[in-house]
Amino acid sequence: MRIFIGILLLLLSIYLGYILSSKYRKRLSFFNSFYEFNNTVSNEVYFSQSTILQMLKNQEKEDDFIQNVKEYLQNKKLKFELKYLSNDDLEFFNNYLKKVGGSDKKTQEKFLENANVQIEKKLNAARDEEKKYRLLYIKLGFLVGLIALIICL
Amino acid sequence: MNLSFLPLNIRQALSNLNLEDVYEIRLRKGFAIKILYNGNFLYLVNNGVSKLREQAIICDDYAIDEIINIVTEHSLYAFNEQICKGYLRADNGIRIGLGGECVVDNDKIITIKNFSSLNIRIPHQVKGCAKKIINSIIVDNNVLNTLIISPPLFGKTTILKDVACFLNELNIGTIMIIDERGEFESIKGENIDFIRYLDKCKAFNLGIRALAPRVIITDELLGGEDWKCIDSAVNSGVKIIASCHAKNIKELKLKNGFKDKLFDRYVLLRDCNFNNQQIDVYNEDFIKL
Repeated sequence: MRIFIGILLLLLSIYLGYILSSKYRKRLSFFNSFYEFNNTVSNEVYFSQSTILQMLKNQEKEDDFIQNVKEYLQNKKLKFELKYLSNDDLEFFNNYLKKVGGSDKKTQEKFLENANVQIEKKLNAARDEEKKYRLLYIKLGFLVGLIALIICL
Repeated sequence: MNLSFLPLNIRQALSNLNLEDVYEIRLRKGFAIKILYNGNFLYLVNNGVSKLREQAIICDDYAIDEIINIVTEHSLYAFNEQICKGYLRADNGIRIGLGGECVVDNDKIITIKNFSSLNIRIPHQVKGCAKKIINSIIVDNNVLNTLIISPPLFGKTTILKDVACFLNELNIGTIMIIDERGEFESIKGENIDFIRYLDKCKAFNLGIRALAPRVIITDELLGGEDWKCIDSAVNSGVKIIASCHAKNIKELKLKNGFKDKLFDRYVLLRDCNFNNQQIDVYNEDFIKL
């Protein structure tokens, strides 16, 4: 019975470690969507010149990023708090939303190009962090679980 | 009439009015909103219109940007061609004139930014308003080259629309409408072809070759190039019905590029009251008929 409880605690703490690292996964997913979105807008501005709303209508996925963009364009506020983003990330996202689509083709091209570099940087940082902290939290969870198992035994 | 692009407070105020009588809504950042209602400029107030400025709804700093964002679907880049021409097209042929800072490069407008005022023009179709002039411009089933003249807001476009409907019903042949700003969107007919959103001169060349019209209807002749297009179209045997801003014949003759004998009829609108509009018709020698 003790062994069973110990193993259960071990698995639970590994799972908890995984849950605690979800912030980093969400951040990575957010910047992945952001990067994709920026590239799609760039293509629209360069080529077909369809509007951002049309583009959003054609979007199949409805993740945090897309929902917030839609809400911001309609009501000038974010749909929900993005707790997994730093203040710096949020400021960058807000500034981006204020400027995207808000000027002529040439200015937009420059803006989107510049934004692309910054989003890519943030995406890479988010990817590195996610990799680092996911493993760290799982390992920590394992260690805590192991201690619990030893105590149980 | 779809006015969903307007901020809620303006829409609510307009809901108390008969939109058929609203011709223009003028917004200027920080100032009271005015509307052209039944031929008079009045202040827009919460329950309709008023002559008193005190009760007027003030156009706040965000209203203009909000309207532009909604009309352009948050994508000014996709509408820059229109913006450079000084207007935006909304649904139902509504035209939004833009005031702001022009960005110019090599004498060419690249864009307009920091919008400070809007002139929202609501299109109207007044059935039968061209009745008074139709017998003067169609003689023995022949359409005469006609120029409709008046200052802005006297209803030139509305009359042109009605002329198009009359000609369509008369079945006199193909009518081509050059609709640079989408103001004729409400007009439809089995004899009517459209060239839309294209510069007038290019539209003349394209339309005459591609659609072989018998009559061309076009709005607002402006610079010398426009008159040249008319001249060459008239010489190719097409009949023209056009409009032009001028207060009277004297002002018309001073227009850059205007040529005598280009038109057979000149129709001068003297007021904007369609119920009993004062209209003078002149022949090619400017003799009042």
